[in-house]
Amino acid sequence: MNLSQLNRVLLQTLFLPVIALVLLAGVLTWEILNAEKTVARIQVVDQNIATANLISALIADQETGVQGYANTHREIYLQPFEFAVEPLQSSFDKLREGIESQHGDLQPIQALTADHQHWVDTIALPTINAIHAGHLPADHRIDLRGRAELDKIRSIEAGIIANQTSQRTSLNDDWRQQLLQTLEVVVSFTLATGLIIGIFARSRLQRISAAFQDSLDAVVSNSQATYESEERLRATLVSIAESVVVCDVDGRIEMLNNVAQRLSGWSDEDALNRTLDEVFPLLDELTHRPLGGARFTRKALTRLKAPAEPGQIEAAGNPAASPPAGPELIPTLTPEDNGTGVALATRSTVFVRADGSEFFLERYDAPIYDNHGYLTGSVIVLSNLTEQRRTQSALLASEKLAVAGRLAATIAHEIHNPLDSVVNLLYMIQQGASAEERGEFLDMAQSELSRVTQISRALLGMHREARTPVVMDVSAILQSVLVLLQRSIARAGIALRTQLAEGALATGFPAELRQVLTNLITNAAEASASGSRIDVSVRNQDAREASTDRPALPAGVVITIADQGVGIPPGVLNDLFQPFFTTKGEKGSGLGLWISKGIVEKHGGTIDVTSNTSGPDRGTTFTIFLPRGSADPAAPSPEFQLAPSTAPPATPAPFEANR
Amino acid sequence: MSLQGRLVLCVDDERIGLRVRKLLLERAGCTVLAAPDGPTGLALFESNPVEAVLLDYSMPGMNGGEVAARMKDSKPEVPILLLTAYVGLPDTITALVDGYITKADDAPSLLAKLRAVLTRQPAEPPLAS
Repeated sequence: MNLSQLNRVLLQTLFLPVIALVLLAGVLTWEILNAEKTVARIQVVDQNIATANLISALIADQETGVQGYANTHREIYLQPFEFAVEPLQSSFDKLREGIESQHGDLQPIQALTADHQHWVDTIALPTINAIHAGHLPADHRIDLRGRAELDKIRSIEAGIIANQTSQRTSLNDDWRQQLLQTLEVVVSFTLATGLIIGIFARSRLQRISAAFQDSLDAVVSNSQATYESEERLRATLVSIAESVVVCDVDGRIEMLNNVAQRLSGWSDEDALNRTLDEVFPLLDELTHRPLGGARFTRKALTRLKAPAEPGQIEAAGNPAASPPAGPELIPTLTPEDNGTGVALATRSTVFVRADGSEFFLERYDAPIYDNHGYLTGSVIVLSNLTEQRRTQSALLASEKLAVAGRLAATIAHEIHNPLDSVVNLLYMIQQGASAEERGEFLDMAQSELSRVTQISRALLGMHREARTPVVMDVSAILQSVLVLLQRSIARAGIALRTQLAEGALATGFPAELRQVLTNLITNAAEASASGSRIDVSVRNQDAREASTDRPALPAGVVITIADQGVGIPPGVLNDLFQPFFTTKGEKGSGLGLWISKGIVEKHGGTIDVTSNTSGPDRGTTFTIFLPRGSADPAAPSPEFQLAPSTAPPATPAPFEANR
Repeated sequence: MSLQGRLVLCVDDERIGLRVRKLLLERAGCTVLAAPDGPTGLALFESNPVEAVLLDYSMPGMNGGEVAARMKDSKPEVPILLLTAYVGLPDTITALVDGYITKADDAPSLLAKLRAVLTRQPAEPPLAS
């Protein structure tokens, strides 16, 4: 249950009683209005009774007045009669209105009014007039008739009063009935409403309570999961073989794992709140300059933000929804994003510990963000590559030995052949020869020895190595390699066809290029059968702009070495440049092509292979591209300043002893 | 014993080496047949009563091992000395021939080995050098 659902339930629970109370108030009002109407009717009836009584009294006053006047002839007795005339008239009207208002029978009041008028006109006024005129009232019949008429009037009055009284009683009963009914309605409505509210509130509260219980369960399970996750991470950090350093947003150390403690010589407690630079003073492997502290810090991000290079820094989330722009804006270092969504910054570094021991560390920096996207710190993982580096150099040395061994066999053969002739020639001279013979023998010995010298010079070229890259004539270098190898190739019955362009210049290390070419040509010869051919070519490639059907080409030198050997199966081609991959069984170290690729890439070039295992194009072709060298040897191409991280490090030439 | 009059076949693709070796053997009294490659050597071996063969191992086309095998198939009694610039030949090859000589060894030891195989023939075990 979310907050809006909860609010809805609360509103429902609040509104239901209110609605019930409003309904109850309505019913009560209706009942009270009804009762009030009844009371008003009772009041009308009461008033009618009073009016009827008043009429009765007034008529009695008139009768008494007429009677008294008749008896005494004194005017004073006539006063009640005269005084009653006006009130009687109004009382008759009032009574009529009263009865009319209750929709009662008007006939009795009309009869009363008429009879009274009749009595006044026929009895009272003639009597008064007669007395007034001085006639004695001697006529009893008049008196009797008057009495009879008055009795009739009285009976009508009594009827009206009785009728009104009975109405009052009935209304009174009605009123009481209504009161009871109201009470019943109020009580039953209150009970029903209370019941409904109770049931409703109970069901709603049960839902809320269930939801609350769910939330509570979720919180408990979340906290359990969080604890487990933290434990997992902690155990991972502690047991991991890499050094892991956790820094806060200001680049101060919050945690060192065990490996990092051992490597740095700092304990977790001592390193706390110190900068990375204090605990791990790291140097850039290439420049040997200090690398400084954590990369993902508030300060670093402020610096990063300042140049505001488009595409380099982007704010996470919608800027309108985010807090105002500040140094906490999250930069995404796109070039270093490793595709996992975590921005990483890797560097090869050197760490010199306080005791002087040197370590090669690969450094990974990764930022930590909170759930709002704010930087809260960073993790620095230092991968110790020292052992790997040592192994790598041992491997390179072993491959150098292997190359040396392969060359030594070739060279021994090349040198022993002419030496064999020289030894035999000298023996014959020693044994005694004519002057003519001696001259011939010495010439032959001279010629054979010059072959040895040529080979020895080629070897010396391999030995010499520049420490800085130089402009090399690729064709000349290839030629010098072929001097050593061409005889053994020919002896194996393999033809060699060369196409070496002039002015094919590249910048680099000649001995390393010789190593690559020796390796590739020897491989080609070993793969070739007698009677097949090896094609070696060097050509210049001009720069070409990209067009719709062709990609762009950089300017440089292209070397191809193609044999007509058995070819390399497609499944194997991909692994060809991997270390320790060999198709030659125990004869190969499996490092030759790996090192060759490393050397070519170090020169900023590429090495590719195509191969066919059948058909007329059977054989393998290696193509090396080297970017064109500058004519000024002092200005090497920029590739030399950046060694590619995946390639093996620079390899000294074979036979080089003193490096 | 003297090498006088013995018919020796030399096979080598090294032009100067072959010429010098022919001169050396002729001065020691041998009659020398020279062949610049395996097939020519085999042809001379079949058509002449060759008493010993000096055979270069490393040759284009047909190498010394192959030539030696064919010669042994045809005339197993003729001793063959294999010449090599390499150290260490395959066992299958050394078992086939009667001895081998490393190139640029001194000339007297070449002549001594030739003399030895010529003396010991026909049925002696191959000379272990």
